[in-house]
Amino acid sequence: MPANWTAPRTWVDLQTVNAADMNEQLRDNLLWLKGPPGLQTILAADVNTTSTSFVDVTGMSLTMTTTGGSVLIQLSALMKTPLSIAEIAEIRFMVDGVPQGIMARQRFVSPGVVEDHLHVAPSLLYPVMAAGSHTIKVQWRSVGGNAVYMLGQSVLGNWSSFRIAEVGWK
Amino acid sequence: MIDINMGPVTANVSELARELRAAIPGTSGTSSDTDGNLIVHIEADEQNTDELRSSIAAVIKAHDPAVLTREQQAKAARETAALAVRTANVTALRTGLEAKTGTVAQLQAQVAELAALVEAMRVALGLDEAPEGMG
Repeated sequence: MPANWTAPRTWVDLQTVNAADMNEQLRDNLLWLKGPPGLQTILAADVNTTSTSFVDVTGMSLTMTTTGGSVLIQLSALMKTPLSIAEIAEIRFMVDGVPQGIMARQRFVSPGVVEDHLHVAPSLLYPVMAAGSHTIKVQWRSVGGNAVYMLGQSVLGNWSSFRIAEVGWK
Repeated sequence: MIDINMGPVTANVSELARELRAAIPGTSGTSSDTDGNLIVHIEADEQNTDELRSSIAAVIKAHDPAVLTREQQAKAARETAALAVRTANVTALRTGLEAKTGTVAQLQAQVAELAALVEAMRVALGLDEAPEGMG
């Protein structure tokens, strides 16, 4: 059963409580607390960008209906540049089209015969997101315009994932 | 910014992005999606999409995926130079120079070989490139 959050009532003496009240105030709110809204997406395949302006990371967009709490936004990404390419990648989160500042800036060197593979994992606690539907995205750019890569799913693992969850923290 | 999906393209993406920026003003670069399509990002009005798509297609058609970026060219040069250093017969060179029995022409050839070896070492170590931030 999907759980909905309902603002807890203030109870008064001698108030009559029926099944609907109990289900709404206790059952559903407890179910909601046990499993608050949260979504995750796993990058299906490698993607790259050479864009010097911020652009969406394909497949890293989530839309969730929140109930007015804080929202934790997390990216866990394995990134690289091709051999011999030194480059800086920047990552930011977008909440309903509004950039949240640069959350990660990673330099790759990839010298010699081994590509640099680096784990980039920015996170943000967005305080008190208004109740309703929200779209949260990951954007990135290549500072110098050379290709930077985010690794997708392979037989070895789920290299990059993006998740959002409503949490009780304020 | 507008995003133009050009479908699957085989490319050296760093070099293709450089070519697109040179040919089409306002191009910020490219991205790929998880299906392998090439998306070109351009700061431009939506109304120019068809014209831009034609221009992009022309650049892609002229693009040679085998052409290396400046960094990739430098890497290839370093690898070639490293191989030359690794396989150089330094012992024979030293013996020849120390023997002092050769003609002037032979000595000149030995010095030239030594100079080439030093140059190969310089390239292999990346010392022929300007230090970072000074290029």
